Amino acid sequence: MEVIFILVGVSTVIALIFLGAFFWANNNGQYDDHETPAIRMLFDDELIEKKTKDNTHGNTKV
Amino acid sequence: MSLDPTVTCAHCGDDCPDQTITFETHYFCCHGCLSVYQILNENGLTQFYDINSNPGNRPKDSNEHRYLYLENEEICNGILDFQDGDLARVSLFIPSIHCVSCVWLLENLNKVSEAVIASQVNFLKREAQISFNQDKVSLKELAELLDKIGYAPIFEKKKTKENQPKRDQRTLIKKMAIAGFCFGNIMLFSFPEYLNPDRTFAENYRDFFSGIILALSIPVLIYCARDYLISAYKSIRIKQLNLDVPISIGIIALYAKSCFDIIYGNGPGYMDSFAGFVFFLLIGKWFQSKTYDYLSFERDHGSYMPLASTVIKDEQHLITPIHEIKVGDQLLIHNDEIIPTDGILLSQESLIDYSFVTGESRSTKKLENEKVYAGGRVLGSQALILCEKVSNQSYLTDLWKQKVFDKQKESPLKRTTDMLSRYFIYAVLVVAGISGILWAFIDHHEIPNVLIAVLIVACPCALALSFPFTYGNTIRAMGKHGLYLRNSDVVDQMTGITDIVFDKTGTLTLNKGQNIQFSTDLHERDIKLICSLCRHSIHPLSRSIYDAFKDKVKSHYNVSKFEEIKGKGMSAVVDSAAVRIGSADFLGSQTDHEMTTVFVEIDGHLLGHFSIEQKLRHGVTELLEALKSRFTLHLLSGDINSDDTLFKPHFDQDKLVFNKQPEDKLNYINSLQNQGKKVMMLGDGLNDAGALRASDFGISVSDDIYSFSPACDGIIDAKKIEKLPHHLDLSQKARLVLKASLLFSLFYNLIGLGFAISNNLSPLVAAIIMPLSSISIVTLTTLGIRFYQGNLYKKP
Repeated sequence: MEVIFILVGVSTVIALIFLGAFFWANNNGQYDDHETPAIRMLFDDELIEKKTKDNTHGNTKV
Repeated sequence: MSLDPTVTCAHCGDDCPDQTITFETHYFCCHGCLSVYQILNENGLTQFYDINSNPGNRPKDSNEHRYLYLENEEICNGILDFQDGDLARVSLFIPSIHCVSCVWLLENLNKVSEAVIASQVNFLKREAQISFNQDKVSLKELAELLDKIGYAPIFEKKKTKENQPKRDQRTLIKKMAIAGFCFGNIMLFSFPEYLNPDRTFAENYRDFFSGIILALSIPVLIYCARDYLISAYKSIRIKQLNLDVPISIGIIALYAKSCFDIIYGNGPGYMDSFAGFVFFLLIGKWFQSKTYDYLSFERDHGSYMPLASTVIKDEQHLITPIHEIKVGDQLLIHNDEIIPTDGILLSQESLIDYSFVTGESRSTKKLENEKVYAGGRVLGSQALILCEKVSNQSYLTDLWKQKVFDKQKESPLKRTTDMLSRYFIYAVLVVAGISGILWAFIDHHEIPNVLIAVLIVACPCALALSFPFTYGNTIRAMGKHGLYLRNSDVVDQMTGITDIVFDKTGTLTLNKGQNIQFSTDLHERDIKLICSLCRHSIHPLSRSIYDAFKDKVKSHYNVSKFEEIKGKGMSAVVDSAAVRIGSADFLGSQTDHEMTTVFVEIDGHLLGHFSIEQKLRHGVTELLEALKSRFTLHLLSGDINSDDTLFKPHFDQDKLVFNKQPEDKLNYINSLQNQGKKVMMLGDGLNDAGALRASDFGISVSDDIYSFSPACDGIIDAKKIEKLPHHLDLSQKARLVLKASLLFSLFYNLIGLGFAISNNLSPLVAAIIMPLSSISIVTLTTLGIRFYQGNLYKKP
């Protein structure tokens, strides 16, 4: 049963890693704005398509 | 090309009056929209129109002076978030962000201008953070570019602690995470003890588990619970007990007892209850703090004033920050700019719109050497002004310096909770004393255990959660229906309202769009005569008539012998015709009209009358009808008594007060309060700011909740103003829900006390009662408010 010391240690360390990951996300500002990322994900793909189109047109920048 | 009456602008979706502006196959309502379309088209950004149909904002008329102040380096430095070499970053407030397409376009701004490195939009805050290359584009050029595509940024004076709420929120989330983490793990490591009360299992590991539990509890005490302990300490020092005192007593009792148990090997103690308790308290705090912090409730006159003005010195135009303008400086104010200080007009004449300061919705004409006041907006041609007072001494600032703005409103809710917690502490002391005496007879060795158990269960955790969850849910419910409150504390202030005071212009009536009709047909010459005369008067009715007909006349006649009799009418000789315009008795005529009428007489012959109908906001009639029986209604207006017929059915005659200056409005509110009334004020604009602040509950009515609104307790969406009675009802119901949940939490405390006094409060019992009481309070308040919300806001 001595293995329980190792198991408890390992599980606590893993839990702490997740806690650390949460802190990183929080400090990174990922919980500051809940609205815009939901909008942004709607048009990510189309953006790439647009870029290739741009090149064929040889557009002029303002 | 055939004319289709339903053609709408491909950019903004408005109707196209004449279908002459076209590009490729699209129609546009104006050249502004067309040019935006062309810019986007050239840069391959027409995707903008596919994401959302007609998403565009119509750009304002181009004005090369609008961002002139950004040429001043000092001002730019104040606006930029960050700059390093050629790289700069700025956060811009852009109120016209309104849809998915807007976000897409602004985040692809680098396609329009090479100088833009990256941009990121915060949709809720209507804010775009843009990094750009300073060498290639200046802040001014960037602002002009955004303006050109219909996203005009608004620059306000930087608040010193702007990032504070964000950081507070992050810290709170971090505390919650730690408390939750420790709570879960402590509970996990306490389980062996709970499942095995006679302590035969895992004897070897008991110390190991206890050690982990003790280690996990330390951050909860010194980091997560810190605010409560500090606040309790402070409140004891100033001898004003607040709710944090009984909470802290509970926390300390729990922690001390648990440490004792662990160190002496009596078991895991109450550490899981302790961590869970702190965790739930923090959840309540977080729930309460999630308010509409993206709306501004604290704007003062400073955010309305421009950041800088053009000063003319030695024939040179210098962009000068407002606070550096000195008495005697000559200021050049362009069209649509705001006068920053009081002064004297040097230009021949100038049209100035004071609507924000006075609430009077029409612009006034000022002549050379007349006094002009800060806060007016110059319309038409530019004006030259001699500065007479520095900006922080102007009339507008004086208005703002009145005492009402200094005094911090004391929250009645805080008083209630403070009182409650005082009673609570006394009750706990009495109960602890009695149970101590009882146990002295039974078994005096157990006295310390019993006393500590009493302190533990008396901890008003459920009580502390009742307030944030009841009022937090209430402001969310109100927000869904168009009323945005400053924070959850103010809900309670809505309940005892006896009187409601309305501002007229802009609040109940629309600023623009009156119905003006003449009783018979008017000849072209008559129109010209009337317009020429009305142009000379600043009476609101004259201005309305003039505004309604000014597009039909190209030029004006000369006016001589102009005479105006206050409150009656005016007469003059216009192009050799004697014209008299005024009320019925001024012209010796009769009127039986319900509406406001203005009679016209030309050369002694009564031509007929204008009937002028003020347009009420949509829903105002229903609103007044619904409130009339329950509250005393008052109407305050900056206008001269012009159309009280519209309001007579809804207000008592003596409660209709016209011709009020901003200070008068404030005094009116104060005098009502001195009679013991609780006053709610609805207003808009800077002129109501004093009254809004002085009232017990100030609501600012706004067509666009993101645009300027003065300091207030709540912002109501003008389109949903008719729901105000429901909001008032809900605030009352919220109080009911609060009382119910307080009773409920006291009931839990009593059960806990039963266990404590009989010395049966084992860690397991505590670990069940504490979370159970917290969760049931959260459920009760949430369901209660949801229930009333569904009932009250139901469509009739």
